[in-house]
Amino acid sequence: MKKLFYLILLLPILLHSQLPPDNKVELKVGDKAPSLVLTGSDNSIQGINFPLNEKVYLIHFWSSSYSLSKKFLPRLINLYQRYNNLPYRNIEGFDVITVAVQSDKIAWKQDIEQYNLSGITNLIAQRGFNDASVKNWGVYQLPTTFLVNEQGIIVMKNPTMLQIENYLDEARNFPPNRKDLRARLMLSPNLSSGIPSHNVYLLNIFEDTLQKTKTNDRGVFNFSEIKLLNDFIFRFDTTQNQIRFAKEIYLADANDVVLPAITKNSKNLFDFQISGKDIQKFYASERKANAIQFVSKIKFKNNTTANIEPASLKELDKIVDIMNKQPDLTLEVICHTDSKLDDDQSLKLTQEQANAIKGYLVAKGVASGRITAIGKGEKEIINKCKNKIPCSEAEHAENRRTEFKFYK
Amino acid sequence: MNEMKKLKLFIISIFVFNVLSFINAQNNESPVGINPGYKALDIALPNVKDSIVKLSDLKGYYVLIDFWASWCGPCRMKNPKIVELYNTFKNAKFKDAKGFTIYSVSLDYSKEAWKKAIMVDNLKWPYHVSDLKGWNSSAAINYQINSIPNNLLIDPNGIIIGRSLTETQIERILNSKKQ
Repeated sequence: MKKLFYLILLLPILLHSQLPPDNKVELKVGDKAPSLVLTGSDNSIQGINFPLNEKVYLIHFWSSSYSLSKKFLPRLINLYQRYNNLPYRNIEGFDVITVAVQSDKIAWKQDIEQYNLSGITNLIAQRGFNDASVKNWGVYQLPTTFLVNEQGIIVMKNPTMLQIENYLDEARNFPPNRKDLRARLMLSPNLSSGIPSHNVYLLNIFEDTLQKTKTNDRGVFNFSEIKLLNDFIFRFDTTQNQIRFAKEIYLADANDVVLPAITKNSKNLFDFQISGKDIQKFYASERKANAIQFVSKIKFKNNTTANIEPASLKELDKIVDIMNKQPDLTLEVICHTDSKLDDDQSLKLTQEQANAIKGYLVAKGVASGRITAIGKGEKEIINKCKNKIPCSEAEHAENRRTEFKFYK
Repeated sequence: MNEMKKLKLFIISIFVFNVLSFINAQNNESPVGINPGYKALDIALPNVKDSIVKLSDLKGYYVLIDFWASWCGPCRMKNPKIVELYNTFKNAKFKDAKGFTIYSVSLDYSKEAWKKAIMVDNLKWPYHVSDLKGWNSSAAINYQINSIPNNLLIDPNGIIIGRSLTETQIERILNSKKQ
């Protein structure tokens, strides 16, 4: 009798363990994205198969009954607005699909309204975690997010927004500008009151830390190679004694123009918000790109050597002329090639080609220190013709190019 | 009296100069070439819809001949400035011209890429031509264009005003020709 009792007690566990554990889907990066067959916000059944339209998709599983999973919705919409309409190099675009794992349709529709989701594709899995689509994606907790590439392959699972931004920026036709930012932190509007060795954080509008730095002995701080996409926030460490009890602190921009006092915000933090074009005030301007940059018709013998065709030397003489007339200019020579060779060979070839051009310019009297020779190999293919993708000779030719960039 | 004579002489000389330059313009006798002062060598290339568009069809306009390509990073970087220039002067009234327009010659290889770049960069003017031969485009060879972006500005009579001008230079020239 006792045995039976235990057996009954154990029954649920036994039954449960009968579900073979390998039945549980676990999607990994590199897996093919399963399809989604779910109800859309217009109550129609939608079937979505990947790859779709050569676009990159963000698939976000959430539930309106679970507030933590809703926290990401404003960020998703922000990301969608900034990246949906951009020109991309090898993909057709970026789209967001949300899947609400819940039965309550009314709450779902209210949230779509409230979070301004109506511009994107919203689906609902009304059978919850038992829905075949949810199961196929191996989603057992919310929120879960996947990034699916243009070939229908999962490239990220639960990425941060910054990771997604970086991924999409790589695919952009022209990656966003990067700039060094500089400012001075001070106790008073006087430039000599700089606060030394103070921690400063650069945050995006969602308060993700992008970079951390420290002021020097004059209170000057630098952030390097910042991608200019968003509005930013400078946050000054309030736990450090120098400003812990200060009522206000001051900031001077890159040109040492003192800005209005910064007071503590509602969270008791010294934050300085930079919006829109104000960011330009903080550009550290040591190395400003001059207006001149162009692609020149420089041909190398057979395209696969570093021997410059004699006809192209005339073009290089023009470069020599520019460099001689403006002795304050420095030059970057950047060679690109097509994807016919393997990646390493291409890199080596273009470096040799750039070196050959530099060699010629130096032989003609331009100081070696003024020229940087850069071989980019096939890292910046500008059309679809990446490795192994069949392309016409003309399409390959688009990628073989030499850029000259002059800096002041 | 002497002052008066000087003034007369000055007025007459201006008059004569004006008449001469008028005759000159009428005669249209500038030799054809590819450098400033010469009458611009004609370009006749197909547009996106494969119909031939001639540079000489734009007589009466200030025309910026813009050499570019979708695969040319520096050109694409510069395109917003060209668009701005077009927007500034497309409806401007000039003393001696019907208007201003842009004749874009692309050194592209593939029509797809060319069309897409026109759309993406919002190059709204109607004159886009290319023979899709890249650097070997007849226009690039005739005009000895060996680096892009590159341009020529021509006046309403088809005379080349300048080569490889910056946007600021173009703006200054066009502003001086406005009514």
